[in-house]
Amino acid sequence: MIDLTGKVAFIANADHPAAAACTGRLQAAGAKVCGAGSASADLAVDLDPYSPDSWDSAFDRCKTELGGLDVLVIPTGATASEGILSLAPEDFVAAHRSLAVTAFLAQNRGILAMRASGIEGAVIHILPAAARAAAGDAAAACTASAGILFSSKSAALECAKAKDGIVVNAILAGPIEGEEPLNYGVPVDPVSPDDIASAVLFFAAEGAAYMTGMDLPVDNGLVAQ
Amino acid sequence: MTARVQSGPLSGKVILITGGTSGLGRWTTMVTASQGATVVFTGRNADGAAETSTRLVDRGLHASYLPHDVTKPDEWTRVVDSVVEEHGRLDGLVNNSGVSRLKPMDQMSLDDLEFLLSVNVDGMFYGIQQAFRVMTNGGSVVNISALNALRGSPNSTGYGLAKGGTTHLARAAAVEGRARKIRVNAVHPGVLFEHGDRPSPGAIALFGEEGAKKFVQYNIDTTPMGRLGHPRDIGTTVAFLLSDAAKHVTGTAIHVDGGRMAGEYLHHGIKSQK
Repeated sequence: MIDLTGKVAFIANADHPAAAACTGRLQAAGAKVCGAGSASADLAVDLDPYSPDSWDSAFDRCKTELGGLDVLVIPTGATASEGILSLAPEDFVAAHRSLAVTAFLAQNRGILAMRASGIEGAVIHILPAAARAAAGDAAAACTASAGILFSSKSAALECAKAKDGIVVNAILAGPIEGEEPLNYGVPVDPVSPDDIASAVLFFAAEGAAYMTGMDLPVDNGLVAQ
Repeated sequence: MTARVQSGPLSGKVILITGGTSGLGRWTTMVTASQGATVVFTGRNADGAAETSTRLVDRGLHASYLPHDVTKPDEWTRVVDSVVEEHGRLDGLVNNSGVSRLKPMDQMSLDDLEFLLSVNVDGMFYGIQQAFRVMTNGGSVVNISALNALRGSPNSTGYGLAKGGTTHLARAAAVEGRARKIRVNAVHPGVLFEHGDRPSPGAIALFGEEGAKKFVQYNIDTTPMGRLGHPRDIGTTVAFLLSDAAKHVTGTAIHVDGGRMAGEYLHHGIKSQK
């Protein structure tokens, strides 16, 4: 049984299909949860995902009002788009940035906020399995999620080198129940939000403190195909 | 000086190469032209373009140049239309233009990130989109990426975000290219030096004369093959991917790195056995 009593978690995107399950499981394990726009969190914060200052303020509020920032969960969604030929260039850029810039700022500003308070925290990305397994008609989601994956590994190495005690890992989520699956070209059963939350709890717990720069598929075998 | 090549593995193919005005793109231009392709190279640096042209002429080769900013969709339309108008078709695109900016997390600004993404992600997407538009009889696209797209690297939270996208965009496009018989691959260079073990002016400016020599030696020592890569090594791999010899190769991420990805040589300073 994972015990996170006294820990504070921040969930960076309440709209993700696994966000509510993560919030519930983290709270059940004893953690307090700060959520960006989340009704079920202990503290709901509003933020502009494209503004570094806004992330800094949100992390400050989390530390001040809930007393810490031990776990940072950064869920990145996956939505299909038009095919490459019919996708308007500006729509590709907008879709890419909405995923990539949000996750980049949440990760980097979150790590800096942990460091500023000497917190040996865990950063956990939830990425679509499209970061490894390319899907059709999802160029922006594939491009952004793979980029975030390798940004997370770079962040992991930077933290390891700085010996700041912060670990950065990623979960590669298969299609999640309730969301429209990407076109992976192979049949794959959806995973439940609770399966994703279980992996988040594992990376949040001290047992995973020596794992960093790792990506763990929770995808019913999709990435293995 | 060699005679102009009339036939070769790329004979009859029309190839567009971005960033042909320096380094890797220049050598890819020279290699593909030497293998018989009709080559159009693009870039923003007129002096660099003149240097590429001079080197081609020295080898009895030719390629034409078009000024081109890859971050502008309308410039892509102009360039690709111009190639098709002049040469009747487009068989290969080398998305070579790329930029790097390595900074620790606390110094990476949104402006830095946008600089990296606009060239390494958006520019490549626009190119692939244009290739899909005009490659009506199939074709081959090669994205030039970086080892930072395949593993973590310090100071690369921005560069990895961009180049991870460069590589995976090629895979996503390969999936969609199936219906159009268009192959899309990504190539990952290791450490490249154009002048053997002689430090580049850039390395000397960064590390000083002695420091640059040490930098070169460190890179030789930590590459399993025990030598530095040359831009020509990348050019020949790209030429293979553009050719019909690679007709069953798509969606791959190829390393041309002297074996660096085989181990963690770079990070841990493990010396090669050579």
